[in-house]
Amino acid sequence: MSSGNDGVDLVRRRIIKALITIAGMALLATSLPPVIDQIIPPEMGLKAFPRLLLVDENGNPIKASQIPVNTQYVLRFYYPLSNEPNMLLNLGNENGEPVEVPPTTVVVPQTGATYTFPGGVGPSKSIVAFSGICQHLGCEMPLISFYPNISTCQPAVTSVGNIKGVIHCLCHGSTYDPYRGGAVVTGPTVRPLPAVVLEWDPSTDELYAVKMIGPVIYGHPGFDTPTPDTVKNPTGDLQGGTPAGTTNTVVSNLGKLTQCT
Amino acid sequence: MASPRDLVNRINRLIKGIKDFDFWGWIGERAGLNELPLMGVPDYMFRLGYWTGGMAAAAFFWQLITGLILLMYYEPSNPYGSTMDLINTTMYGKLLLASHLYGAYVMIFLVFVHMFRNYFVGAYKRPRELQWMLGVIMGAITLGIGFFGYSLVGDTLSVDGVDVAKGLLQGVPGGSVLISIFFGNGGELQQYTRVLAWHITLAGLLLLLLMLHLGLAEQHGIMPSPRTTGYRAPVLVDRREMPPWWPRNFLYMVAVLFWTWGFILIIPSVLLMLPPGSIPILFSPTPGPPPTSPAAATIPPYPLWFFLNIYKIVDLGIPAFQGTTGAALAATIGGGIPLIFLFLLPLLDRSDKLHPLDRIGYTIVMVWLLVVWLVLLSVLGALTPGVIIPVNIAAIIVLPPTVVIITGLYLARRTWVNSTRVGNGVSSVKGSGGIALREIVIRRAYATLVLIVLTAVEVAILAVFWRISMNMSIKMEPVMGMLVGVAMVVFGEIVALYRYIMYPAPPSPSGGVSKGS
Repeated sequence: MSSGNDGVDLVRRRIIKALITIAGMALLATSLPPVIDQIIPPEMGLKAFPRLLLVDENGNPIKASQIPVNTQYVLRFYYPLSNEPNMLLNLGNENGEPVEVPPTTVVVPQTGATYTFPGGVGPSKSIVAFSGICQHLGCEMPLISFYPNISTCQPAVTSVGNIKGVIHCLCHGSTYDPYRGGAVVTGPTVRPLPAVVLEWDPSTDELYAVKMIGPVIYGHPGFDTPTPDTVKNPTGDLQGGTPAGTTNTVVSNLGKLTQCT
Repeated sequence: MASPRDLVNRINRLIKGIKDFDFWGWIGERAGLNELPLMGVPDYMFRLGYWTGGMAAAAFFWQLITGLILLMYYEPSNPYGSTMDLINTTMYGKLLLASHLYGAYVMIFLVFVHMFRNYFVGAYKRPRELQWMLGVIMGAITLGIGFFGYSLVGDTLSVDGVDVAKGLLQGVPGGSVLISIFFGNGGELQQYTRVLAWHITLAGLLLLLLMLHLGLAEQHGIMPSPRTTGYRAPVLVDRREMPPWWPRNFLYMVAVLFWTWGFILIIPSVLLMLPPGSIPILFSPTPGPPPTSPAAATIPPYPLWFFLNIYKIVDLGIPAFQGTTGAALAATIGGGIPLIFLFLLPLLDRSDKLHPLDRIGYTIVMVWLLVVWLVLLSVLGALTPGVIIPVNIAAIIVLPPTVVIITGLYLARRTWVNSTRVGNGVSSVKGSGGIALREIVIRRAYATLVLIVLTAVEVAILAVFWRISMNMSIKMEPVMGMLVGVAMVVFGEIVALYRYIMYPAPPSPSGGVSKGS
């Protein structure tokens, strides 16, 4: 081809290249969104806190009066979602007698927000349940566990000395007080441990988990921004997992605490 | 200190540099694309007939991509439930599953097309025997992947399929060991976990074999038209005469890829738009009812459509085919013998004759396999599910077409031999008539016009797509699948036109095909 033709050709080549680029971009913008939509899993969470009966591994309801005082066993149940473990405790004193846990106001050191922990349930109002995921960096039970207030158990080694009757996390040393609604005893955590609100049916001695109170469970939407509203109704707990159950949730006995003999 | 004039000059130079920058040229040079050790093809090969393997591979790549996305959702502990959850709750989940199913159907169909096409041009002859034999193994693996994939769903047909496969294996010596290898030692979770593992393992194996298959193709080059050697093997290409692979082959490859993908999306999208229940269960784009539901009893016990022929052979009323061992024998004869024949074909037919009528015995067998074994018996299987066909009825159905094939092909051969005797040995090579430079210019102008229109169509599809996604609902999924499918086909056409305009065939006086002879 002559050099004169080449000039025309160059312009046309550029236009055609521009066209194919536009078409390619258009195809990309049409075909990528469905692929992205496909790999985003659908939300399987809950709309509201379910009322779940606590049962044992055989499906029989847990009897409140049979939960050992100063619980030296890891009793774990999932609530409200199947990736939210909680520990079930029957609190007592040094003599092995159940201790009534009164309603208390819990303060969130991070923001100053407060909420009312409703207190213990059961025949002696001593049964409580807390999230089994530490609020500091998400270590799960049994790394975070209860240190019973009795002589046969070792105390938790914390930054303020050796203490018993606390929930302590071995990862970074955060300590919570289950006798006072999971309030912070020592850092590094800046948020109390979320509590499961339980209900006790005196006629059948059965226990129900009915809702959560306190900060959103670690790792679920909004857990690190506790506001005065969310700590009273932590609906973030309902997102980011599949429901733990529809009518009941299993309490598993994972064995005796290693700090107890 | 630079004066303002210098600055303006510098900016002008920069602008000119950006304007003159050739992005693809830069990529091409830095990646050494012009020196890729891949062989190009002559211009006459840019027709789909030469790209049947490319289309099958494109369908396979679609399967790899959609399969990996499906893997994020599939739960072997809850096969049917997780499948239905995907369809009902995930955005584009129904389209994902249906296009994976239809991608498999398209791939299997194309694998058969690829095989028969290569029989008729004689591509299995020297020096391409290994490639053919590897291809037959790959075809068998493809059917195996299809079987395991279908068994993952857990609907009534899939459970029936696994039960029948177990039943057939039971009749083979050592069958119970094979059953435990493929399906585990009992227990649903173990079975579905193993079926999933086999589905993925075989797909990975197929990918490795595909690389080997492509490597062999590269060693001998794509088989040129048999006319170039007067229908005598070996048909080879002259490496030095081949144009470079980049970018002509690359562009056509992209076009073939998007054409195939587009149809894989369009077909199930259309089926999903039809009212539910209007599609026969054999071709339903969504799973059937679970085996525990009462509706399962109303569904004929079909296998996958590509096993319908073997299914019918097992149901023939031949005494030797009765009982557990008989059923295994029937499946071995009906499926195994054709497979072994196909595998051994290059070792059986070692002549250098390439014209299909010149190797009439094998052509009769292949046409019979296509018409009677593959098509007729499959249609019979689809029309009479679960009905035992007595031997005399089967003979009435199978023998007439067999006779027609044999006599018809012999007659064709006689006519052909007479005509070649007149025409001095083998059929003469006809030059397709060189295209004049003037005509090339006119064709390119038309092609440019079409390319402009198609680009506008592509942008219009984008606009409609985004308009619908403003208030997307799960009901609109098939429409969106249709849009993306059409966009892919159109883009494939745009790329093909781009290649046609930018890299035109040289205006040779002898035409494209008749380089040899």
